[in-house]
Amino acid sequence: MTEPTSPVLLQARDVTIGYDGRDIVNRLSIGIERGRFTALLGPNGCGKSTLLRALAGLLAPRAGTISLEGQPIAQLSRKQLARRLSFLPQIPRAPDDITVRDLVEQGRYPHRRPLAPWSAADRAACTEALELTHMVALADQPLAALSGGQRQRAWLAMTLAQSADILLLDEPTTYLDMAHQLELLALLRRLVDERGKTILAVLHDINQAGQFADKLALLSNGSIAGMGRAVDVITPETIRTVFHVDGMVLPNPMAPGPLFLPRTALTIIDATGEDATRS
Amino acid sequence: MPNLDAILPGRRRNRRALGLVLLIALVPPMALWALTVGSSQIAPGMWFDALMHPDGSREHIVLLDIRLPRMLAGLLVGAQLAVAGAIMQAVTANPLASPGLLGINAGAAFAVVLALAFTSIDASGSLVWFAFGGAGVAGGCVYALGSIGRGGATPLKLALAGAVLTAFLTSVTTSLLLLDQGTLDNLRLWAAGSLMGRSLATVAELAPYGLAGLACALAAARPIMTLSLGGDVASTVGQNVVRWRLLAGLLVVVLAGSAVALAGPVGFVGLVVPHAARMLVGADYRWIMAYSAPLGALLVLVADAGIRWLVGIDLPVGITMALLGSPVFIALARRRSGMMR
Repeated sequence: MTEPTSPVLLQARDVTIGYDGRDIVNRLSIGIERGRFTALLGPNGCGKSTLLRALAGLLAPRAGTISLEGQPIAQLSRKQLARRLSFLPQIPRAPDDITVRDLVEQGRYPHRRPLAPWSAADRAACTEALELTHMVALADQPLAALSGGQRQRAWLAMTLAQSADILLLDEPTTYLDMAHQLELLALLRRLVDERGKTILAVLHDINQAGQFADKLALLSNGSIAGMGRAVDVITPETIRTVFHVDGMVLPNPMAPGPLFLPRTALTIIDATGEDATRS
Repeated sequence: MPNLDAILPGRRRNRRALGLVLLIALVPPMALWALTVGSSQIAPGMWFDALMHPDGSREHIVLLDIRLPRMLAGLLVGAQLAVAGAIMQAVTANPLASPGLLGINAGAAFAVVLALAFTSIDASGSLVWFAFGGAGVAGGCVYALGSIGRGGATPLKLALAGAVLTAFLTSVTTSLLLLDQGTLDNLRLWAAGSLMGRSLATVAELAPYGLAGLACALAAARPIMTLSLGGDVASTVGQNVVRWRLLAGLLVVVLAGSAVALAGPVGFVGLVVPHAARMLVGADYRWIMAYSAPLGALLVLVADAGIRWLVGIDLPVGITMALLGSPVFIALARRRSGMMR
């Protein structure tokens, strides 16, 4: 793939983030490298979405700073930030009867001045976003008429129309079947390789992450439990600690890199339905 | 759903534009028809003479001093309340949001009656500022009341808070009017929502606020459309959500406040018209707002003149609108009941 390290573009330093007086992420530091595809992984409730929302500037950290090329994002206006960074929430919502095209055009918001007409650049960015996500034929359909996977691609098209260098994606593969998952991950890979985009995506499948991403960041209980290339991060020990899953790591016969084969979960469900970790 | 796409040929954008032109073209003939409706028979062509060469005849006086201001007030009030309702439904993602249901009309009416009862102010140009104040305070109260508790400002909680405040303010307003022996019949009619007895001077005094509000609302249609996608998506694409929500609120206060100052608290226009517009053009609030203005103007005009033409009774338009709007409200509440919890 690419060179092992690249300059850091988006940086969180000692951030503590939480809702309603409860800290979910604790004094966490992470640097997202320019022109790389970083996958963020971790068990449910470990703070992945919270961290992503903070990196997108939607949630102000209680302590610590998040900076974009050295400038704290709190100093940028929403519009300035949106021109450089786009974010796709886990379950985005919009009125059901909005069409794909109208949704994608919303991605141009940070590039348009009040009352300015629709420009050639706006049109080009929307057309390209629709083409990249294979949504051209569905552009005039209302969102409600689409399948879960198509809807997800419509939202991704809106995010791409924003023409930002950084894409933060919260579980973009969740509603997709296996073929669409692979297609989406290949698209993300291409955006990084061909367009020089910087991507941070929350993924669930560690093998897909190992196959498509440059870097893996493992999050556990609100702090980074490991970050690096797949070969360094995917080890039986780290996966046991982070995911409470026992298994073994094999060389991937189809591609360079490791493959994790799960054997059993190290958790038991007790009578109250609570998870209790055995190890 | 009677969608425009099924009725008109051509591309979607062209169909919507054509539909809008047709609607706007309907306004002048309907307005002229409204001038012919009333207790005394006036030939349809006489409005031209009356405007160009007023000769002081009874017919000309009726046309210029009674029917013309009534027609203009109907158009203004209808357009303003409908656009205010469209803005509220976009910003709150709430299908039941409208100046009538969320207490804004009642707040404006209460403030105007308060000013009339306890101060010596009676010029429309001054009273309208009380209407703005009352509309703003009532809107803020309903939002605060509706936001208490789990889940924030859900559509149902907002509608309940609006109903409670409207009931309270309306009864106080009515008491003030009943206790004050000096109040004119005109004012009592106004408090029920009526276009009767407005002078051309009053209309001219209040029209600039309404027209400015309509112009600003249409100019802000694009950011309002973005707001309708919800706070998260709007922030993500770079909108300063807090600033635009406040500006949208200000627009609603100006539009609904000056409409109430002109015709009293006319309900249901702001609820029903944006829904009708949505059925025609879909979820795009830029088009919903553009359609709401002529649709609202036509609805109030026809409701006011139509009831006189049909049954010969001069009902306040607020009551006609309530008769027409209540069944629609019930239908909407039932259809959307899943969304309201």
